[in-house]
Amino acid sequence: MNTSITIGQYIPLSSPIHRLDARIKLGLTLLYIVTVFFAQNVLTYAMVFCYLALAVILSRIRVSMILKSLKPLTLVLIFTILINVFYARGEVIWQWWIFKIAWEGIFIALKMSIRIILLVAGSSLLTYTTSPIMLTDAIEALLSPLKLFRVPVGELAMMMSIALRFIPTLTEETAKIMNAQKARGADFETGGLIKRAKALIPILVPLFVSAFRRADELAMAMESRAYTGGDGRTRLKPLKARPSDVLALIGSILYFAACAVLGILGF
Amino acid sequence: MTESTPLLEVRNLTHIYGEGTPFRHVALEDCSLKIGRGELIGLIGHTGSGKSTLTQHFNGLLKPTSGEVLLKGENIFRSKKATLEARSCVGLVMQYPEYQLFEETVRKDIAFGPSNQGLKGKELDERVAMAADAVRLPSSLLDVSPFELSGGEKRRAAIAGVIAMEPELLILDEPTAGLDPGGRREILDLIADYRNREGKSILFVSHSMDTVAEVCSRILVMNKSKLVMDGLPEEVFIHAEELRDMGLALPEITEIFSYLASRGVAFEKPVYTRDYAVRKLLALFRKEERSL
Ligand SMILES: Nc1ncnc2c1ncn2[C@@H]1O[C@H](COP(=O)(O)OP(=O)(O)OP(=O)(O)O)[C@@H](O)[C@H]1O
Ligand SMILES: [Mg+2]
Repeated sequence: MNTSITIGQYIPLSSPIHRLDARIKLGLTLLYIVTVFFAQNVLTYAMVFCYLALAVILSRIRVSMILKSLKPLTLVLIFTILINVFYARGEVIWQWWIFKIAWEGIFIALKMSIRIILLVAGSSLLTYTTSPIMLTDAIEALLSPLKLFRVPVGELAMMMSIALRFIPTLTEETAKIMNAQKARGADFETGGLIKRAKALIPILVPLFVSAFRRADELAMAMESRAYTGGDGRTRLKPLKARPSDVLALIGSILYFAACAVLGILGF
Repeated sequence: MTESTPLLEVRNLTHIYGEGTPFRHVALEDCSLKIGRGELIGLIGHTGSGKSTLTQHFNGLLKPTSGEVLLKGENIFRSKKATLEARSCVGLVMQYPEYQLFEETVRKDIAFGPSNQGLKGKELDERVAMAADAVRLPSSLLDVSPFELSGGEKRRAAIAGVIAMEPELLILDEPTAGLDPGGRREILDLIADYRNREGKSILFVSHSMDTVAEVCSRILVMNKSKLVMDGLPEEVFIHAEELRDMGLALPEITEIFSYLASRGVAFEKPVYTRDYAVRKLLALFRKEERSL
């Protein structure tokens, strides 16, 4: 097995945040995101930031890892800043040809970028500290009210965990097939668009064949182990909220509520 | 190029997967070896010992972390072109090669390699015919879809896809894995035949001593990312204890004869091929009859 491919970015450590019930963690992350949108001023941003900082410290995930998750954002941030800075409103402080800069634009640009950074950092903390399987379980639990509307939540969650489970396998398989075709002189690196697209055929065909074969085998294996659908299945590791989890939940909700109120009142 | 330049030489090869990540794994450590023209070599080692990693350096699929790979005395990583040339000079049949089949017909699939080498028309057809013949694939199968073949036929079609490139060194990574005894026998026979007919070098990777002992004239043993033995079969099989410690069994024939030896029947060297074993036994029986 090739272990260098990890899906998502789960970093297995032992910390209070890792141990926090996945449903609560997911719920709190959603609340956190909402709160970030409520934040309007320096005080509320500072409060949200403190919350995130505390969570990061408790999680024992290195700050450099959180920064790494922000790296793909660089382009988005640059765009956000440029658009907001030049879309001047209010008092113009600098002007050249059609470009104007106003204080308000700079503030909005800052606010937007901080917001994006807080959002992404918060959600990557969730994926860093929760294994994909736990995450699907949590999503299933949070979606379970939809069962009332006959949404097959269990099956959806099963599909998600199977997909997650097979991403590393298929990645590895793709690498193997690519190597096999390279060994036969295939060239994926040179030539124009059409030539490169054509060069994908020797990879895609075997990959699809093997994906279908695996799907077939997996379906057979699941059926022969009496899988008949999501309803009534019990779990190997049932999610169980401990008192401390509930405490964290209530404390965080109150904190978020305070942030929202402060944001709305505009202190 | 002088007479003494080996076809392929590997010097102090080290390969580390996932360097700089928590998953860092030293898969090859300081391996050096030479492969001459026309040699039939067996590479053996338990699961995860680094055999596939080693062979993937020979045609430049993997780049060494340190050390060099010389093909006819020249480093295969000196330029992109040199690496591509190495791919066509060193044919690598990967583990479970049947998963690389993709064309509509077996014929087209076998032609994939040689046409990447720039072959066309009649020449290409001849190559395909030659390769199909080498793996004993009947011509009636050439125009069916590769996905309709049986497991053993798929395996042979995939091997033909590499043989069709006429590599000077043919590497087969576990070509008999997952085949029944008949299919295994067939693959071994055709490898030996191919070597005798074409005189090309062959490196044969396996974790079964029986398979390797039967066909190879030189054996390399890998253990825990290192190349630990390199020699004639009888030189390697003397180290029975060490081999067992590495999780490798001696060939069954050798085991039987070493048992005989422990019961007082002396043999001057380890016995590891069927032919030699049969001759030895016959000689023993004759002696016995005479002494009656
Ligand atoms: N792409 C990869 N990334 C990370 N580690 C790898 C990769 N490929 C192989 N390894 C690791 O390197 C080691 C050697 O693998 P290799 O495939 O070379 O072994 P092998 O001797 O061919 O084994 P087998 O008999 O099972 O084919 C193994 O521990 C394996 O887990
Ligand atoms: Mg291998």
